[in-house]
Amino acid sequence: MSTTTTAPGALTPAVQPESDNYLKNSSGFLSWAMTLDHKRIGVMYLVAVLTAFFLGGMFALALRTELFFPADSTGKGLFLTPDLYNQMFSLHGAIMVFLFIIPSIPAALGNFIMPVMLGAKDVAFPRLNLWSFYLWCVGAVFFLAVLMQGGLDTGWTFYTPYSSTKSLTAVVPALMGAFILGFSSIFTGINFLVTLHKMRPPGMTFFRLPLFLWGLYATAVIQVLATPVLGITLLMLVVERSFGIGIFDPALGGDPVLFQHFFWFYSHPAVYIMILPGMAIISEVISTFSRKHIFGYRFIACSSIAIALFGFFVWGHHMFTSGQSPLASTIFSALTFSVAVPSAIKVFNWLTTMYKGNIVLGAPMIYALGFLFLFAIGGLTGLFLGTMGTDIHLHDTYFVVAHFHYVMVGGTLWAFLAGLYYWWPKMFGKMYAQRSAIVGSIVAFIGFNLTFFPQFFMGSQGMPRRYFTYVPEFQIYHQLSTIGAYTLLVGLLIVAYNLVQSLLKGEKAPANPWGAATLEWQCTSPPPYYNFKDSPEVGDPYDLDRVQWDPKTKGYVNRPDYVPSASH
Amino acid sequence: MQPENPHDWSEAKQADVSGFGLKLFLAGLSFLFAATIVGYVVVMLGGSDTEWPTGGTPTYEEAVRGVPPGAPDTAAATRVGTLRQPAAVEAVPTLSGSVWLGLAGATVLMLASSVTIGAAYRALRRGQGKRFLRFLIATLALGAVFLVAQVFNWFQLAAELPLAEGGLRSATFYLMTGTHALHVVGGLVPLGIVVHRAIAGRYSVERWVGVRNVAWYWHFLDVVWVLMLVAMWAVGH
Repeated sequence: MSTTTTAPGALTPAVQPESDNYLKNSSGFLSWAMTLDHKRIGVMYLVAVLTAFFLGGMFALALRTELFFPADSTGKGLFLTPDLYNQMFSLHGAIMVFLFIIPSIPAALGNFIMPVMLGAKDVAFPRLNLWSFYLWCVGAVFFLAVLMQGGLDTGWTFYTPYSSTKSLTAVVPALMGAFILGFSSIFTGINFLVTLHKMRPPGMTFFRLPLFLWGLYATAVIQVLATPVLGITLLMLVVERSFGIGIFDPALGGDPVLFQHFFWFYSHPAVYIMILPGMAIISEVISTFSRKHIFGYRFIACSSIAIALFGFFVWGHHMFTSGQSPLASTIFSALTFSVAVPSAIKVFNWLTTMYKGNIVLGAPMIYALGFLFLFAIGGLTGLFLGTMGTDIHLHDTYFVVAHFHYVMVGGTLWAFLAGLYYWWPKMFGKMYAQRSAIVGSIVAFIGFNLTFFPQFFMGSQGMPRRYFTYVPEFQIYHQLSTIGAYTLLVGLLIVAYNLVQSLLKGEKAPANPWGAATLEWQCTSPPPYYNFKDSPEVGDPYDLDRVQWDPKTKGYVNRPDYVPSASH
Repeated sequence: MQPENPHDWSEAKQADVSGFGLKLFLAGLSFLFAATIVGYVVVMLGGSDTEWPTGGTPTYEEAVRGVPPGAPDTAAATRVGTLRQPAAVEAVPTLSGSVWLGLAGATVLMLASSVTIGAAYRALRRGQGKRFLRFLIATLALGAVFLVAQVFNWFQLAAELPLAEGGLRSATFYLMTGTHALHVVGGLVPLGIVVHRAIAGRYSVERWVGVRNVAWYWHFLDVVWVLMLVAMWAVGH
């Protein structure tokens, strides 16, 4: 690219020699296994969480396949036994939550992008970062041990007293696995918070942080403060199961509701660990692909923090039917509704950003639009569940299953894929075929809705979740849902094919293919080892006027005559 | 191999960054300890007794048709979970005089160790090498003795009220004090490393971050212990 025409003082992508990128600057197994480079750690996380996603997805397909027909008159299923079915849904949930969704955006994409976007050379504690990754691996090994020892059938929630006394499956390794994964998550959170506080380059004030970083900040607060409570809870359960000390088992004088309080004190905020970074990606993508400054920057930034804080006070809405006092339930219900306010602030700001923008329908934007639609359904159906009266009816039905899949898959997975497609050229230096990327997204979108929308109907008609079989009235919904699951699979296979093709044959990516103004696009694709030679110049991260299309490099370059406007 | 760690920081920057990281870590731990203390207080105040009145999970028949009050429990054999043992509910473990004495002893040890590590850090910053090392080793010894005292206290309590009879109230006491003790163990390890490095002469007026960080962690354990003691005093009699 040309640097000779730029005026002095204009931002220029630093021209780096071809070999000086993080992928090529050293080679060999140890150069990856012992690396302290946040980008390599991010890539290793990406491979790891995608493997976990594949495994969890296979369990889900097994469930949906079994449910295509109800059990026959002798109680025999299509190909699973009821016990095996219980293990499949438990492992599906546990693997997806602990090994995929929680680390997906912060640990994989966040690790790679956050320091570059911030304009820093690395995270504050690179060694701790590598430790987090290996802790993830140890946690994953524990879950593999669970598979070897014949599964887990408690559900991912480990409710007592079933998990502490009745279940004959490998509960203890699963608890230890989740415990260790918790540490991984805490360390990532601490690392991100310290990096965002202490390693901002000159000029990068908090209100100049890109919104992705605000989202990671809010996420990290939850990771650091809530996860220790999960740790102690799981450890108590290990102690109770191993030594018969009565903490949660009523037969031993314990209190099973105490477990639910402790568990949801973490696991409800954990829902926001899953969705906040997703929302943060959407903020980036929508602004860039609408070619417009993000609307309501401060509101979006502060609403992330608000969601993180409110998230700590709503855990009781998981326990409306657990014998909690009506007063407590009323308070929890009211607080739950309060979370809708910052969530809606974000959605309306995204819509307003798109309004009168020049919307470019690139693959990341298709995912972002899918997110808006799916998250709206997921979020609004959450209000039915936060209302005490309707929740009594809908509790433990497929309505709940459909609701949280709309948030976790339609929200987090869609945002994760939006982010993956958005930063893919930066991460690997290769472009991908837009057409098949978009086709994959649309097929997956149709498949997803076909899978989960019927579940709202059967749930509201009383189909309980986690059941191995069903009465004939529900068959049509289950069959639609199973067909949808396979359609979703096809969509995701197209995505996988598209990304592999890009790695093999993709065109070389320019430094700034989408024309975004955040700092990660100021270095080459893929970034050099230390990201930036000197701290980059920091401006408004959403002032898209600073870049212009350059047909020579097929990317955006900094506008030579750019003058920062004071209006934003 | 990879180039070295990209951060080449001055001691002051190191202190700033690692100190902030440590504070966040302690914030996380404070939620952990808050959970154990709140759990202990709620259980001791008996709130949980009124929230699990049915005893075991109702059978399908009971759930659909209801159970008349005072009816005999005919489904006990097949029930998932059992009726709460009345004995377990009534056994309120009161901390006897001798346990209180043991706890008081542990408190003195904990407070003293907090004082010594503070003194060690101040001595290091003033360049009093010998005094620094003396107080550092004293802290390590006091921490170890604190753990011994706690184990002694647990045996004392277990002798007065066997574990199996204590039920939830007793379990939360062990849980709370055990969690604290585990974190003291977790503090003795870095403290041991710091002592080792101090003997090797790795600390000086210019290099002190490691000592300060361990000292902060140690003061935190001290504060947590005092809060636990207050909780025990308030509801544990």
